Amino acid sequence: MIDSETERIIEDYIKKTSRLLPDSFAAEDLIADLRSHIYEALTEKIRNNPTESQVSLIQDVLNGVGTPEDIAEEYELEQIVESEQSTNNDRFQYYVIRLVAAFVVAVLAAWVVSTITNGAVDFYFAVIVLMAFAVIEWFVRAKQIGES
Amino acid sequence: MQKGPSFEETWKVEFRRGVLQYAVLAIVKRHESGIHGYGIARELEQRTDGLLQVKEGTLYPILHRLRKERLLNVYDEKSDSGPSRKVYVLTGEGDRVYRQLTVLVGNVFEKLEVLGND
Repeated sequence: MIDSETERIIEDYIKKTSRLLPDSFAAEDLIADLRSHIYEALTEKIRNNPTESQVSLIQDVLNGVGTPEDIAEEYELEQIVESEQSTNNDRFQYYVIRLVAAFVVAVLAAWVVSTITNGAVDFYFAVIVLMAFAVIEWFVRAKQIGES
Repeated sequence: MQKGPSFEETWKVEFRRGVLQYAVLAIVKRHESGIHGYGIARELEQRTDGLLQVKEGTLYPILHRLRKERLLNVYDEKSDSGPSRKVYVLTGEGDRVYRQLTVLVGNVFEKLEVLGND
C-alpha cells in the first residue's frame, strides 16, 4: 500500500514532466508509461526493503528514473531527428511538385502559342524554351531569397 | 572560467545515445511474448552491468520513437502494482532492422579492434 505523501511526490513529478512535454497524445502515452514504471519500481523497492520509509524509497526510484528535464531533453532529441527526416522528405516532394507544375504550365502555354500562330511557332520548341525560362526564373528567385 | 564537459564525457554521451536504441531492440527481441518498459530498464542495467548509465525515464522517448518507426508494437497489460502497463514486442520490420544492425555492429567492432591493434 502506497501512502498519501508518496503518492503526492509521484504526482508532483508526473505533473512537472507533463508540463515540459508537448500537449499531444504521444506525450500522454509516454507519461502513462512513466507512471506505471515508477509504481512498479517503487513496489519492488518496498518489497525488498519493507522497513524503509516510502518517502526515502520513492526518492531512490526517482533518482533512477532521472529528472523531468532529462526526459524532456531526450524526448526533444528524438523529435528533432524525426522532424529533420520529415523536412527532407517534404522538401523533395515540394521540388517534384514544383517541377511537374512548371512542365504542365509550359505545355499549355506552348500549345496556346502554337495554335494562335497556326503552327508558325513549333510546339516542342516552345515547350523547351518555356521550361528553360522556368528553370532560370527558379534559380534567380532562389538566389534572391538566399536558398541554395 | 567554468570548464565545460570533457571531450571524453561528451564522446561517451554521444556513443551511449547511438547504442541505446540498438540495445533496446536487442532486449525486446529476447522476449518473444513482449516486455514492459520497467523490464527493459532492469535488463539493460543487469546485462550491461550499468555500463550505459541510463536514466530509466529517458528510455520512454526512445521506445516512443521506435514505435513511431514501426519497429515495435505495443499492447496494454494489467499490472499488480498500479496502473496498467504497456508491453513492447518486436515487429517484423523491427526484427529485420535489428538483424541488419547486428551485422553492422559486429563489422564495426571487428574493424575497430584491428585498427587498435595495428
